[in-house]
Amino acid sequence: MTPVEGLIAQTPHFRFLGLRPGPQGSLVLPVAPERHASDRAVIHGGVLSALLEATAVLHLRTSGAPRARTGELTVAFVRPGRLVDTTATARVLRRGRRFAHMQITAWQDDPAAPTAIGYGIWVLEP
Amino acid sequence: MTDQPLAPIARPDGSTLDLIRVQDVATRANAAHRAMGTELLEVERHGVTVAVAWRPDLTEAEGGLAPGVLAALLDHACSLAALISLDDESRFGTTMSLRLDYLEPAQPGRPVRARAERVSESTGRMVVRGSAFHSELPERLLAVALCTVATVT
Repeated sequence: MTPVEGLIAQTPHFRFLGLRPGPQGSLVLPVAPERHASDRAVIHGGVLSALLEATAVLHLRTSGAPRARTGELTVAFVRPGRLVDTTATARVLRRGRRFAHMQITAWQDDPAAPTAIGYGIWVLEP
Repeated sequence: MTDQPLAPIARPDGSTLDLIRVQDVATRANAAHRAMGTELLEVERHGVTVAVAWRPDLTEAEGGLAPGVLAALLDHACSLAALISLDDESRFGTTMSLRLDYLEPAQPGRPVRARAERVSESTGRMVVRGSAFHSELPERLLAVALCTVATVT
């Protein structure tokens, strides 16, 4: 079991969402309409927000900040999230001693056409 | 999951929406919130209160409801507040952005409420704010949100 798989296994809500590691450090939301859809046959914005939050926190907690917590997260819903598997990747914009600035991108078929983009600050508790 | 009859929600002055339809969108038609067991507690003229019960499958490792659950609850509350404030489902467009600030972790075993209300409406968009808290500790906020909804003019 990889570190990311271990943290998913320890986090009931990540298991509820069905999150699994994807290629190159990404996180995949395997779409399950009965858990992820809104009332409009798209992925609920709150579920996309949860995917972005999980992607950033898992990235930090498996790279030397095991107690990282989400301080703030801004999500831009750039395109409707169709009911297909969705992949998210996190990028560290800056990581200091106490805080990390992160950018997260969720996409479906084309990484260049993101579904949602997140920016946030994570608190790196000692 | 059984489909119990929906409890009646009090209608605020000036609202003309079909509140059974609002309750359906809040708790059933939205699959993600149906799966979370989200409840609609109150409708105001420009606001709404929703809640999710503590459940072991919705928690983070520390045992409280997970940040992603609060995100989903606040997103939902803000969208519903916009719908209710518009008082016309055909004018609800889409949620364009959601800003979340996490203030303290949800405590194990406690349900979470989210209340959202309209801040302002200008041409084509509405700004809504929301807050999440434990029902028993409403003065201690767990998270706050600011949401922009595109509206049809």
